[in-house]
Amino acid sequence: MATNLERTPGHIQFRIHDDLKCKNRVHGCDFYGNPSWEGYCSHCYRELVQKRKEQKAQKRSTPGKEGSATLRIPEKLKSLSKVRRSHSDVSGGTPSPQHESRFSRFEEKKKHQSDKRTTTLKSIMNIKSPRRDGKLRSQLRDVSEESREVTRSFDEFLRKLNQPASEDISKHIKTFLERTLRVMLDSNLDDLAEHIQNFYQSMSEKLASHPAFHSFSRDRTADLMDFIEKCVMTRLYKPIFDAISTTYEVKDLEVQNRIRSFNWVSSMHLDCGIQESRPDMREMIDEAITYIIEVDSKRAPQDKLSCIVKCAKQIFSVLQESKARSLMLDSESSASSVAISADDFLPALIYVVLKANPTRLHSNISYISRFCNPKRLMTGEGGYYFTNLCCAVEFIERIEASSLNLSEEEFERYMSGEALPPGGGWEGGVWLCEGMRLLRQSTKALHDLSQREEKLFTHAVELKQEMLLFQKGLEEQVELLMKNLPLEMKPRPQAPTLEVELDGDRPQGVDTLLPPPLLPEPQIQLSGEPLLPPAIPPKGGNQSKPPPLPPKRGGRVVTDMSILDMDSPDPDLPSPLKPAAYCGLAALNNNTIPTIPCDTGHSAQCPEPDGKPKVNETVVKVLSGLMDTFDNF
Amino acid sequence: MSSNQGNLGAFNFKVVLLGEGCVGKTSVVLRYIEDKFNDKHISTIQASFLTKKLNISGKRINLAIWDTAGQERFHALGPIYYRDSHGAILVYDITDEDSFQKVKNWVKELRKMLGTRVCVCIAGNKADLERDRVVSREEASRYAESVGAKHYDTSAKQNHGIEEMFLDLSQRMVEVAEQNEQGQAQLRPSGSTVQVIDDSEKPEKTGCCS
Repeated sequence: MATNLERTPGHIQFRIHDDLKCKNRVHGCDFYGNPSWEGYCSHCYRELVQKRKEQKAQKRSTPGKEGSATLRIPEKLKSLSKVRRSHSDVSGGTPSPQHESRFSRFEEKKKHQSDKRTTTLKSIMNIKSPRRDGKLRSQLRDVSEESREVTRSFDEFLRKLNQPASEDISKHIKTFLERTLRVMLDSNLDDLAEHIQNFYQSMSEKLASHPAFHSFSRDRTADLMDFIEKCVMTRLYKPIFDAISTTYEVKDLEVQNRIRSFNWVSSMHLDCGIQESRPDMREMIDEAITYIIEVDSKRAPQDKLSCIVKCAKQIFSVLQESKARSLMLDSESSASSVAISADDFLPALIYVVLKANPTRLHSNISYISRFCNPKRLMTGEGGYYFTNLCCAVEFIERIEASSLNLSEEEFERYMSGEALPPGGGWEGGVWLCEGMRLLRQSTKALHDLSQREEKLFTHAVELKQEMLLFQKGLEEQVELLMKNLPLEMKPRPQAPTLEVELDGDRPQGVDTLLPPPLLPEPQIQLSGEPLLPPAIPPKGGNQSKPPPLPPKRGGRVVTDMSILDMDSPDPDLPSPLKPAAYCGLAALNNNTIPTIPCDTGHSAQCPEPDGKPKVNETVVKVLSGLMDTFDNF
Repeated sequence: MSSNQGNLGAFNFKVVLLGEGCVGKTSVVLRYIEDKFNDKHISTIQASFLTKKLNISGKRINLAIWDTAGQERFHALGPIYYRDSHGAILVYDITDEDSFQKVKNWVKELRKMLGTRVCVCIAGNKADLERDRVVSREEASRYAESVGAKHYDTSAKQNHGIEEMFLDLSQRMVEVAEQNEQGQAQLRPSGSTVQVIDDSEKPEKTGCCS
């Protein structure tokens, strides 16, 4: 299959008749098939699906046959009750009396079963739910938070690619997802796995052959494949994993119960060289345990794998630490670090799995092995550790007396909870005091927490004080600023009245109106307009009013500053000036009339940038600085 | 699935290391990968999964070497480890007759499970302890030949025979992989139509360029 698909375009031409035809040879179908329709042509594929559906419906109506998960409830419950819950909860170190344990066992079993029934039903419902079309559609729309996140990061990644490539890929993924959700209704796990593996294959071929991806480096292509896998599997995780966990539910529970019954196994039995009694070792082991438990919470197969890898790495460092210590005790100074071989690793991994008792172990293993990109499982580091995990589970399922270096009798007694393995001196003592250890650990954690809380509290108080100080300082500064820059002069309301007066004055006499035309004088000089200067000197010479005017102007300008916008001054200033200019200049020179108003209009604004803006800027600066510091707080 | 010829014509091989505990599997592979023996500083913290890149007459090869736990109680887990592997190195201790018997068991198992697809090397390790030898070299070589394997005397301590062993194994794996590929290439066209059987080299070539 693999090599069959690993052809180059050149070869396809020759074998096109052979491979690409519809698989329905029996009926002599002459159309071309399509891998997405399992090699059939569209017509035959539709018939096939129809046929399968009918078969399924028949199966459902005749219970007892193996087939869809729906049928198996009675079987499942039966087998569940078969699951021996070897009850060896030896908390506290003493085995509980016989009758009590029997009763609790019974109760637990009952509870367990009823629990199980609901979850079984629930998971069946989950599988069945997409059968309804409406649900299917809503499933396409209702995307979990994880999927959304993955999609987002994938989009980001795609954005970095060139246009046709990214579009092509996202289109492919979209159609694939839709198709898979549709196909999922009528196919069992193996078909589904094959379907998805085929998708990986065809995508990687596409990446290899499509011209849009030619410029990609190998790492880039690998990244892309990674993302595709992640995206697809995160999206399909829920329905697929539900199906898997229903299928493997019994096995999962069996393993879990078995591991629980091995709670007396110590590193000594496994001979794995972990000094489990040392508190610092404990912490490192706990970390490894956390990683392996985390596997169940991840969605994409490669995320699950990377959890396993992390766990393995942690185990290596635990082993190395143990070895280094024991070597130091043997006074072998030269060995700064020791390579850990599989002889040490596998027992340690088994130990960690036993202590962790991860949930849905079989489901996760089967999920990874079915839906992970095979390349990762075949060649990479992840594949190796995954294989080791499989081995560990296999070993746990087969544990016998001999595999733990125990006699048959001893083993039985430990398993039944009648006795506990004799603690080899101090180590055993510490192991028995598991509760004490936890207590100590928790106390320490609590102490830590309370310390941190205290710290937080003092910090909060400090912050509060600082905030108060800051507020005070801010107020002071603002006040100071207000004082230094007397913004409240509020000449603005006067300005309009003045202007109104000017307006009103206009008809009365030219003399009163003359001062306004003076306004342009300095401005025009500033702007260097050659036209107006001649007009101004005579006015300046004639009038006694110019002196009072500058303050007015200044006042006006200040108001402009305080407002910091140009809207209000604009209508104010030009309008009075225009008429004023008109009259004044009309008296002097008719020719210049049209030009002056324009200039005054401009010049009225001009002085602002020249005159006081510096003050203005500083105000803004100080204010913005304050704002910044405030923001920082 | 067997050849695994990757993107740029690189062969990816999985080599599994089998043998009883304490025969020096780890030392052999560490010597090969890092050219170090245990009494020097070793930078890797783990020696259970190691990779090595090779180039044999222009063919790029990636070896992934899987160490296995050698203790007797893990013996039953073997099949999980050597599933889908292309090569196996069986290590025994020349000073320990039992470990050689173990190798014989492994060979039987391998042949049963993987047939002749898997290339096998048998390494008599600790050749530096010649005077304590209990497994005779002739016997070992004869046995290896009889099961289609190659025998090497190795010494991880003195770095003897290891490089050769891996090189020979890689070469044989390449041969097998190429045979497989050709076989498949020939099988495929013979299905119904086709004229172009002759270009049996072509798949490799294009495989390299694509």
